[in-house]
Amino acid sequence: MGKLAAVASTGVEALLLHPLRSATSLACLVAVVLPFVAGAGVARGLLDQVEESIDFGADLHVTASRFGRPAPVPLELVGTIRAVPGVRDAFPRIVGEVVLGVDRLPCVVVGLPAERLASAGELVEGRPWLPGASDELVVGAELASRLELQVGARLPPFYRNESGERVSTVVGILRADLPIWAGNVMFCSFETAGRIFDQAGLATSLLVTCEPGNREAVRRRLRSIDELAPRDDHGPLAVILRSKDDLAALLPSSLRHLEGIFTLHFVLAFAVGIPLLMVTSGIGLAERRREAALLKALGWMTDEVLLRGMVESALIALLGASLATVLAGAWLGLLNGAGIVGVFLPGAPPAVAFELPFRLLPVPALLAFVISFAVVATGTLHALWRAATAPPALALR
Amino acid sequence: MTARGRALLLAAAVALPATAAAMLTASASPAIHGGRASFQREVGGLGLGPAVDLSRCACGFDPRVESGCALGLEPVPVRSALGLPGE
Repeated sequence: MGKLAAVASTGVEALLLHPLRSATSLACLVAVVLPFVAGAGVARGLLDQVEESIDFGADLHVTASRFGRPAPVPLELVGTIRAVPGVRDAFPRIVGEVVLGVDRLPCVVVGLPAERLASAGELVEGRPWLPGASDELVVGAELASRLELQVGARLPPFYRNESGERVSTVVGILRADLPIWAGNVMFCSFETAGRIFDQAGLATSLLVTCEPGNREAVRRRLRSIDELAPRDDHGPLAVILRSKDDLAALLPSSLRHLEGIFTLHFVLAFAVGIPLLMVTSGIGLAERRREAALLKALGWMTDEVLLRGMVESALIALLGASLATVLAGAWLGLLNGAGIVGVFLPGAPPAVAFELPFRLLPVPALLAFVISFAVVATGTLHALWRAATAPPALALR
Repeated sequence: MTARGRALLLAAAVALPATAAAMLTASASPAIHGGRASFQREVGGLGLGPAVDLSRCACGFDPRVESGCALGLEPVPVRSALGLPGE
């Protein structure tokens, strides 16, 4: 046992005997593993925010469709829904898109009833819009940063409306540590959003909050109400009801699908990385042969030579995986994922003003170690085995 | 091999995994963020995907807004020439 430990400790020395080779292997490992650990961290952080969006969001989302495509919902349905037993509250919401500035930045307009965001002053630098005030906007941190907007900034008319366009005022900027979807959003009152899109009496969805334990019962009752599928000159509107459970079942599978594609890409990268490292470790092949032959000539057994190589590989893998994890944490936390955000969040610039969500988990880090060890050991042990099984005189020649 | 090099390597072999383990432990369980929860309560739940706006794929921003995704046509190389949606 003591002999084995002594042989194993020479693995540490082997790493220091060839600092350039060790440093190159370490750098290659970090380059391969770091994006994987960082990407897995962002995927997990995003999933946390998705779960919050479902958990703290409305119990039921009522939307409509025509021709199988999304269609606006008439506001008359709000009263019908509120009258259903078990419904605590129902409110309309408008979610639409406009483009702003000479660079035509896409911006998500969200119109809410006056009492909604107005009660969440701590989320806003400045203030929320005032009930009854028109054309007051609260913009996301990312949008404010890209358009260089401050509280009090005035936006010239950016929409067309038959009753006339107005100058809008930025009265608040959302905090940077809110969900990523708040970054490019322009919040305003429901009436202001209706005027921006020149649509009166319509919402893109109705959000329903139910009394505790009544969600499914309310959903069943809503399905049985004829007024919920209003008929106009164009025929009946197909109303769609989505509950938290529907979303919880639908979305993680979608996100896992994306995460799976990401993982698949990295499996391919690792698969390419193994022969790559074998080729790069070929630089030190002559050194390894000579080293193994000398050890054999001194009386070392083949398994002892391999043990020494395995300890060296394990140490490099441990250092590589640990360094990749630390760098991933620093990159995502201190640098807010600068340069990599756009890869994971479509539409985001290389550096964002909002806080990038991430959570580093042990499984990807452990996987990084296992893969690092496999990559390094494949190159090292193969070369050592060939040298150690050959006659020393032949290997030294 | 110098004694200093060996000491440095051993220090790195202990410090790096310890730092990594501390970072993993610190982020092991998701912290409920008061601001984010409050925001989602106020707006009724907004955002359920990786996209940060509606321009490329509304479904990627929030499938509650639109369930289809124009990016489903992404592999078609002549999409813009054909006038297909998504740009």
